Amino acid sequence: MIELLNYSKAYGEHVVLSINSFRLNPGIHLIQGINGSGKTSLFKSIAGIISFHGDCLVHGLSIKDSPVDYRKRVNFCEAEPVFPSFLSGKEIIRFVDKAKNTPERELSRLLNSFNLLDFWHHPINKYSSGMLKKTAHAVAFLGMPKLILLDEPFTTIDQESKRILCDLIIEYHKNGCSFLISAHDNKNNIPLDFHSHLKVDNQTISYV
Amino acid sequence: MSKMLPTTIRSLGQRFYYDNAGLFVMAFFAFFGFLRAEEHLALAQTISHSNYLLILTTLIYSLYTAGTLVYIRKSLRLSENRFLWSIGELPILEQISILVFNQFFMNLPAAAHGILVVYFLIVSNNVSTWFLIAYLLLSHVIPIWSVKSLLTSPYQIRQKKSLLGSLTLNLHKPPWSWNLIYSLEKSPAYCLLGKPISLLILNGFIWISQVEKYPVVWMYLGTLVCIFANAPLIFQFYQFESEKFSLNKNIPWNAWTHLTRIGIYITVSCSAELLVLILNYPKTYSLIELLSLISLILSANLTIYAFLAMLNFDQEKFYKRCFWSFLILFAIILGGVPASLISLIGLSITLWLYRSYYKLFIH
Repeated sequence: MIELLNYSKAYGEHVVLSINSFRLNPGIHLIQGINGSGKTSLFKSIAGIISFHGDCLVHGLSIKDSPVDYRKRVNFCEAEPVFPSFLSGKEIIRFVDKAKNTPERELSRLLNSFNLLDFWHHPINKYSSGMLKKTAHAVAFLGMPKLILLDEPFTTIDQESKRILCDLIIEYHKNGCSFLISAHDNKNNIPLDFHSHLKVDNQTISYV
Repeated sequence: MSKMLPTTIRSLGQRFYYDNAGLFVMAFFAFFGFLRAEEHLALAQTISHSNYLLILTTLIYSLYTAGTLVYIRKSLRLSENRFLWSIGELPILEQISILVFNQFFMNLPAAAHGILVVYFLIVSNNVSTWFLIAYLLLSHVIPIWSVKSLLTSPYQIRQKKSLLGSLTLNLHKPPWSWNLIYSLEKSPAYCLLGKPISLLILNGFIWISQVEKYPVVWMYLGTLVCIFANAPLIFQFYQFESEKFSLNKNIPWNAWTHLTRIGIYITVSCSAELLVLILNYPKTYSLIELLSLISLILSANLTIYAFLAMLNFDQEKFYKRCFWSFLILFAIILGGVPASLISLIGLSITLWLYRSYYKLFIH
């Protein structure tokens, strides 16, 4: 499903990651590593947010050759999401929803699951960090993507929201969506059945 | 599209006006406060009768459009606006419609003025009408391709710098090298634009003063605008002074010797403005007024430099302070205070700031 070819990411002279070839099958995958190991850089590279050397393919589609079709398949939720403070959650979700052409039924289900309807009319600057994170999660699930990248999705949200998020991940996976999730928690503390456990260390990625 | 357009306009178009509110307030003052209604029409009519002025006007429109484009590209680089990248996932026609409407919203002031000029061109049966209409239409469409290509592959946003962003003055490099125009993250190349803009504005004010025989306050305002157009250059000069001459900091010069040296540098860097003012000075004004204007240029630039000494490289605070100083001086000048008195006050403020914050400056 995800294929990295001659991938390398450097900030100036400092090489963060260098991966010759790596392949990941469809499923729910956990990725772990210490702070600064390059998890977020890897996520952002796969999401097409930052530049890198080499290529990345999702279901055979290259980010460099077909960037638009690629991005339709891949959604990303950042560890610390930011949105314009003057917009409301509703405006942002509606915007991405229209661009990604999400079915209305799916959208209302997401809104209800994340309990967004109570506060989504308010501007983002009135949100708590948990509300902001849930809004970002909802945005990441829009458009029936093939791969969702969740960078530290369980931080800042309460236990109930954590459970709802895990249920949604399982349900979306049943419908053919894969997940790459980064977390600092112990694997056993996350109520998900991971297909693989990966580790980012020594400038590369490997199976634990 | 109907649901995405308002959000796009709020995130890009509306923010553009909000972030550049100072510039628009100034333009509003200039066009609707200082100029009378009939002078507006006369100005538009003059532009429509002269091909030279028409080209100059379209150049100003182009600068404005380039400014909007740079703003959009800069905004799309912000993480908070990353959700806007999903515009790139829409069908091509919808993408272009959203971007054109947004561009039209951002171009409104230039377009409104353009339409006024087009009206006079039509009235005077000028062949340039079609040129200007075509230009106005193209100015809404051409920037779209640049933005659209970014939205198609946004990861390239960080790979490629905008043209203006990469044209920067690298003051870490020795000034005698040919590498002066060089990529530097610290500050964009607006400082390079400051000088020609300042000279253009000053010439424009002198020209209009001669033609229309405006009171001397008009020349004060022109000088004021050209002084503040030099602020980015002074910021770069300050960086150069601080980094290149760091050894000088060990020389036991006192604050006043240093200030005199800075005064000489500033006089040299403003020599172009001073020369234009002396050579083209309208004969309707007295020599005393000319000397007052020269002292205003020098003292205001020294005050700007003293702000830098006080704020020590905080670029954002520096420009904010410059903006408020500009507005205050604008109001003082309109209130009828003579330039000589303003320059005297400016010089006193400079000396006070310099005396109080010199230690911060040399460290």
